[in-house]
Amino acid sequence: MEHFIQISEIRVARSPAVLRTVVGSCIALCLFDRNRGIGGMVHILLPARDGKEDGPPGRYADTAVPALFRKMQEEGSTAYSLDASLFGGAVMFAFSTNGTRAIGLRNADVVKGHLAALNIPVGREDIGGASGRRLIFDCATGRIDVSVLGMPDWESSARGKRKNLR
Amino acid sequence: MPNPLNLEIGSHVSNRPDPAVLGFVKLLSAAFDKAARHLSLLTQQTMAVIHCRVESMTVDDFKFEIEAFEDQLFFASILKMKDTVHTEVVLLTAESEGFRLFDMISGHPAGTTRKADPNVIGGIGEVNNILGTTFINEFATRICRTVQPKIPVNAYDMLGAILQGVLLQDEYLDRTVICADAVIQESAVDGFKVRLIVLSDETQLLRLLSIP
Repeated sequence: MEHFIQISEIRVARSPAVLRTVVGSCIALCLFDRNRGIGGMVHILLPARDGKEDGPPGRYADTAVPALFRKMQEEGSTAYSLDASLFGGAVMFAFSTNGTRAIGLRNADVVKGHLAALNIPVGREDIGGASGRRLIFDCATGRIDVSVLGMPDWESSARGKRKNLR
Repeated sequence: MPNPLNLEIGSHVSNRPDPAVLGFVKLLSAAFDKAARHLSLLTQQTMAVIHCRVESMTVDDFKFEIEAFEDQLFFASILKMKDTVHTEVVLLTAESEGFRLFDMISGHPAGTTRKADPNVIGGIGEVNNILGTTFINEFATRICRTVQPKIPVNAYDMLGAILQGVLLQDEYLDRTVICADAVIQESAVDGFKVRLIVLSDETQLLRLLSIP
């Protein structure tokens, strides 16, 4: 089963599932339960809900992390069995941000803060840069293939070859 | 409301009988129509606006309706104006159509361009210099001021990543924007198409357009 994670979407899946997404400035947080073969992903757009009532929890970094963790807990996971990975936060365009930290990097900061509060370690992160990332997350093994345009594995990823996932 | 392009108007815009809003819709119609004509001249093909929509929204509720294409490669060029009102004009074209566009503007036979090198990316950026400036000129005429665009920024990447980058700029995070989205297509059966998106800070825009 394969599922493409849209902006603001949270999804948890059991093996043999594959979760995919594309992140530019957004942040994708992946959680993998190494004991149960369960994976979860959320595609985060903004750092904080800031009192807004509307909008799905996955949209905001400060609500996305607890929401994804709760969904993992519903499947039996605990913080001790989880590994977190973070991707995205690219500064896609060279427009001036007036010295403010780019939104994607701020999202990453908020996510890492919430993960630390939950005692979930960040095992891998690939944040920043200037290019989009395509992610393929195998919920059976926890392996996450990240491909960036122009990098060596871009073509094989684009053709859907997943020989390295298992 | 005059609507020569059959411009689809979202409810957040149509429910407001504000003359400035009506004026902006009229401005958009004229700008997109001229952009199509300029593209026709550039490509020596008959291009027309086949779909156009305008809506008012925040970053939170922005929907690109691109689910099927998020990881497909696109060329993008972003033309920005900031001095009067935060506005971006974004030109998007799918990879294969970008190659075709570059062939047309370069005078090459179709199928010549197959690789997205800096020349191609820059060439497509030049197309947006022309198309985006069409909107800026219409706007400048309306407000009777000189408006200077910034140097455009070009990109070649997955569509989802590009649009996230456009949207998640600090200027738009706490604001409502008016988004106008037009598809300009060649009139042939499998005509190639480009997408032109105008994002404009709503408060600033309407304040300027309300000035008689």
